[in-house]
Amino acid sequence: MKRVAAAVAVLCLLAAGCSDPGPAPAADGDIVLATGSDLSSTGVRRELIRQWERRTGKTVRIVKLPDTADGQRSQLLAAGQSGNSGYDVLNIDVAWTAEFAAAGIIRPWGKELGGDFLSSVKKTATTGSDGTVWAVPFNTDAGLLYYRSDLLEKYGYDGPPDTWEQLRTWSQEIMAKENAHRPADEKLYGMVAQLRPYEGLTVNTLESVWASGGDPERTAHLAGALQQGVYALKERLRTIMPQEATAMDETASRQWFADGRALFMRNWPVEYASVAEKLDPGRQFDVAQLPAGSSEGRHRTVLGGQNLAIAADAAHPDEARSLITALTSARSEHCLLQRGFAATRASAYDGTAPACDLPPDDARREEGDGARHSTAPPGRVPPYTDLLHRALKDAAPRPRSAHYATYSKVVQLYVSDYLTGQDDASIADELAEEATKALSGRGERGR
Amino acid sequence: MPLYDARGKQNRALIIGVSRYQDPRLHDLDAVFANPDELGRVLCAPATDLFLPQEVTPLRPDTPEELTAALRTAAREARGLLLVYFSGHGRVRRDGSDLHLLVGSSRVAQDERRVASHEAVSWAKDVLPRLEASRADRVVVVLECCFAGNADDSFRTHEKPVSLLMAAQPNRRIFSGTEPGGGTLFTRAVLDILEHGIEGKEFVTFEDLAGELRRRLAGHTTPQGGAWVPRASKQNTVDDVVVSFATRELRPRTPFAVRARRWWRSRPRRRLRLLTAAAVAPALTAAALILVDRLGPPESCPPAQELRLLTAPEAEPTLRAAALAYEMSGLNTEPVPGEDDVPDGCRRTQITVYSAAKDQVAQGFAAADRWQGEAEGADEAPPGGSGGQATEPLYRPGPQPDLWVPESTVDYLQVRQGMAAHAPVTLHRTGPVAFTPLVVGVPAARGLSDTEQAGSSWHKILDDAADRKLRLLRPSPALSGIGLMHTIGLYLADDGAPVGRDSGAPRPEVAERVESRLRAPGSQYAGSAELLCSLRPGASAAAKARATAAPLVTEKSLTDANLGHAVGNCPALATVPEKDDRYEAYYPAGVPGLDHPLIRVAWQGAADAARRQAASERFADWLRRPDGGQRVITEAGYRGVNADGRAAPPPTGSPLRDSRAGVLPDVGVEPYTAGQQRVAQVLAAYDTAHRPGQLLFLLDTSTSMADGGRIAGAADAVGRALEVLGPKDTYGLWTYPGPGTTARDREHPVERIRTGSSGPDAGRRLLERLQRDDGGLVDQGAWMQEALTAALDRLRDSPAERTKAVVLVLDEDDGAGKRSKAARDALSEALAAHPRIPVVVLATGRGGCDAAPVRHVVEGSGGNCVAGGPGAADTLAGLVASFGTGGQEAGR
Repeated sequence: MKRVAAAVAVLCLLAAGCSDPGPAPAADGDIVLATGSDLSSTGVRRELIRQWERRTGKTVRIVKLPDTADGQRSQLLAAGQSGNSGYDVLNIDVAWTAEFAAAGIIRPWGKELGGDFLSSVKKTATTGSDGTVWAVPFNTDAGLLYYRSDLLEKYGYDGPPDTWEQLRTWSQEIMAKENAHRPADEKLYGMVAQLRPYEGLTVNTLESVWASGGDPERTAHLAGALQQGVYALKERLRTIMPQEATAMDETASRQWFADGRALFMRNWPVEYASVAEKLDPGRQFDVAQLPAGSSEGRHRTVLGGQNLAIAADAAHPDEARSLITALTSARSEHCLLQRGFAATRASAYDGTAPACDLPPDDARREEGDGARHSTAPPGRVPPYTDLLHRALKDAAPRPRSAHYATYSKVVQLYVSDYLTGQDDASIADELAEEATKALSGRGERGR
Repeated sequence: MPLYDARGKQNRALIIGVSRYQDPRLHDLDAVFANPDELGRVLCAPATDLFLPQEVTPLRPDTPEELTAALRTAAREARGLLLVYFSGHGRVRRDGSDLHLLVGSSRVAQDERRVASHEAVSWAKDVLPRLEASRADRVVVVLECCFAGNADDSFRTHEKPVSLLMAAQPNRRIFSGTEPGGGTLFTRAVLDILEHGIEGKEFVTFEDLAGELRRRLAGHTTPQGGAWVPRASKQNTVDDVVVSFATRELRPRTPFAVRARRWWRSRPRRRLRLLTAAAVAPALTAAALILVDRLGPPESCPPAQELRLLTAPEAEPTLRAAALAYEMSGLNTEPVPGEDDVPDGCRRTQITVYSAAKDQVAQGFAAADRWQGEAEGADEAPPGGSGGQATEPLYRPGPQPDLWVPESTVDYLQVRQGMAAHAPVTLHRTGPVAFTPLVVGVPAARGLSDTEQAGSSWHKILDDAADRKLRLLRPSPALSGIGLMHTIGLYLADDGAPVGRDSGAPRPEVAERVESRLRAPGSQYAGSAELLCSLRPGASAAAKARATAAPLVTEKSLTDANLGHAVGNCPALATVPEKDDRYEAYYPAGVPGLDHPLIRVAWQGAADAARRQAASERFADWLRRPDGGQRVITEAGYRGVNADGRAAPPPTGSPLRDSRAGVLPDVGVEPYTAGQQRVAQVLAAYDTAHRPGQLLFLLDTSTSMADGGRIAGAADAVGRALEVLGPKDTYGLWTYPGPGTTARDREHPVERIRTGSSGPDAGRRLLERLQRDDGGLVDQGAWMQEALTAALDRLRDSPAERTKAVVLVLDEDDGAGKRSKAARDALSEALAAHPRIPVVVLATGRGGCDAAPVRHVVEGSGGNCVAGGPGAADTLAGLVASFGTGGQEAGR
């Protein structure tokens, strides 16, 4: 009996199209797209997918991944390593692209990324010394400085601060004057940002280190800039930020700012509409590029966003490629920008892209991962578009390494301890050494 | 006096000289410029006979980090003698303390007392700890800077033998700024002694050097006048160290053993080739491969194998820190059985730690086939498959875990009970990794005078707490393993006898008495961290509530709260709370504690199953090792695990040993051993002691709810609340305002799901439709007052034997304040009517819980409010669970 089974198995292997009786990965015609962001109901990204479905007659099935970024990465990576994920297209965070490429979970897109993708954004899709392209940038993101224009004006400042030092001294002045007549529970703080120990803390740390002279291409190795960067962060926390900032993520910091309790906030453009909606009438805000380290310095920010990649074991690689191409076309990117996302192509910003041809919707309801509504009248780009374009040109990716996740965990652990600890003693050489070790993929030897 | 001879050992010399300063207030030290190179030359000279050229590092640091990094490297590499030599500026506070060494970028603080540590290198904080951490046998430090003599004050090492030579006595400057280039006076004297030896000596020891310097400088004065006397000091040694073998006598030949060792160490490549040649005969090819491997650049490392570790929210931060410590450990670079050829030295495993509420974990495992199916991209499960519970386990609880650390064995037994016979997953229990006893936190100002902190029965504690008018607050037994174990303790250890195999079934009168004290509507929380966070001092609104609150939590989380550590979403406090804001821990007798068993989870069909298992087991093993995970676990305030798998007493240094923690670290802790049947009986008794709930969800579906994703957030929270309803609880779901154009149409809410329905499926489907379907939202202001009045009237008219509550999802931003006075008055009346029906408000609008209409409703009904935002879903679920039977995982 066993022998018969074995013979059948061999025949099975020989016969083309004979499917394994085990868990059959999506042998039907549906294209399976795995995504962390919620694309399942409404929103421009979902509409772009529907448009492709109508045009090609294919169906895209969306698998909703865990609701935290860490969970999404963990599941996609582990399932890929175990060889049992049945997806065609992965919508992945830009920071994971290098690791997924090295782990063989996504397949190379090609030798080059054609088109007018922004050069800083392009880097996130490219890894390795040979510059192979592994994914296509879907939507990007850059950190912005939100500021209370009404309060700045009240105290005689006619624009946002240019340097971090200005931000701190202006804050201290305005806090002192404002809080003289405010009740304790409405105290105004200078700034809020994302300092909870999660990916947001790594992002804020890198931005502070880059403003202190750190080179985005060599982040792990420069102990001097690293120490100055984390020290500057702690100094801001101590002087102008609420202690609660050490427990804040994007949403919590946005709530604080929208409640009128902070003069400045570092956040992504995605929060613009929420702030606009929630800030009390009579209060005004605007956005600017993040401050620089010095008056001649660059306004550095970390690039966020998502890339689309073809899964290594995709059952429908051709359709996957067609879908990704459509979702990232110049026209699609124009639609994304109009509906509150940061587009990845230059043509969306300079007005040369073809007009967005999605049916006009009431543009009020968008995806669960953020409030992207009514930032612009239908058919027009949002008010911060030029600013965002400039910020993206000055933006840089996080270290593109197959070991980025461990690196980020190390940074979070050290910086979080440093920020909440009483001791100011330098952590830079230890952190630099641990971070470099983390990026190398190696560990402590034989202890 | 014994002598230390470092010849032939792996020595290091770090020679630091700073001659250029950016701060104009610090004059440049031209004379220093030549010091590092000159000293380097002399130390490697054949006459000195101590260091090899590659062992000496001259350094002219611009930043403090350059100096500390080089120091760290030298300290780590040295095995024999470590020599550290600094010449440059030094500064102290006005009182002469806290010597700092200044580097190129250092600035003088305006206020001299504050030499900022990020601008200079602290002798006590930056230098000494790195020397202490060195692997060198002996350390010699020479400080040639102003105030060098002040270094002696803070010169302490615990174990490391260190000799310190200071260029002058305390409180002396040694540079005037006018010294000519070409080496300082002091260093030139040192160089001469090291290079040429001392008349009549066979070599130069540390003591000789110090004595000879004193002799030579005796005729000199410091730049400010006065005698110049170099000082020497030692820590942890009485020995002397040879610092140069130069002599003016006939010099004996360097011993052969020393020469041989040096030859060997100075030629690493040749050494390798020799070693290789020795190994060549048996396996030529293999040896050749090793040679190539060793001499080439290290191969790049592939991504490590990803392990997913699921736990409860309270344990997540600790396990996260432990997992990272393992990732970066030496053990994690050892080969794992089943791996393909991973290059030497690469990390093998990486671990992502995440958490979920207890009921969601149980639902995930109960729908394991669906969990696996989603991960494989399979089509959606047919409606009703897997019990129709968690529709998307991959979304929540999250990734398919490889490791699961529930709070206690009880949670594991519960999950086992709920799993399907042919689930594509198997669970392997490997024993506990961390213990913590269950406690009641009593406000320090209201200590229970008649009750012992340890050894008193629950019965007595409950009596005493009632006398003191304490409100007992508990995490939900449905959502939290802590809440469930507390309930087990309350029911089974009422008389203080230990809960064990011999414990009888819970007695109904005990359960009834307990729940009469604990079932106050709205008294339950999603978890212990959230509970303690809500009681955190600082939030003014919480001050009154805090004074009478007695949280049922764990020793670990109470310690965190008392010491001002971060708990849940509450950040760490800048200082430890005042005594009156702290709690004293009471340990009810006989109550089992949490044992955090580690469960290995094996999913069918994984191609790398063998390696995954081996990697998981190695991590589990490390987690229990005293020099491994146990360090992290006990530092976080848990009790550790001893070799027998039982709870170990907390080590010194544990936060439990801090008297301000308010705990009794020597009270023992036992795991739960009474079996699954008792758990089921406890849950049944809980069920009986609670009247079934009757809830009415009232949802604002006016178009303003669409803004900012509010409807999605609201639907998510209501969906989560539906999951925690027990099988006997019923609910209805209404929306408002009604469709139509006239006020009469609009003031009637729409009854979307009939009151009295049970099972979450209908509700879940409706919520999905509301989010998706454009027609679901009504384009006019909301008519909350009218709708809520109608809802309260309907509930009041229904049979009385249920616990009733309205859950109102409100966006007060449109229309709510503009209703007529008559409508408001009608609502006030409905809220005040007896029996009162509490209204729990999920406030998604701008004003949150402070908005006037929200306050009106909450205060008028004796209800609660949850502000929209992250965590709102679980908080609401905790409150809703306290209205129903909710004690069992939903749907079972």
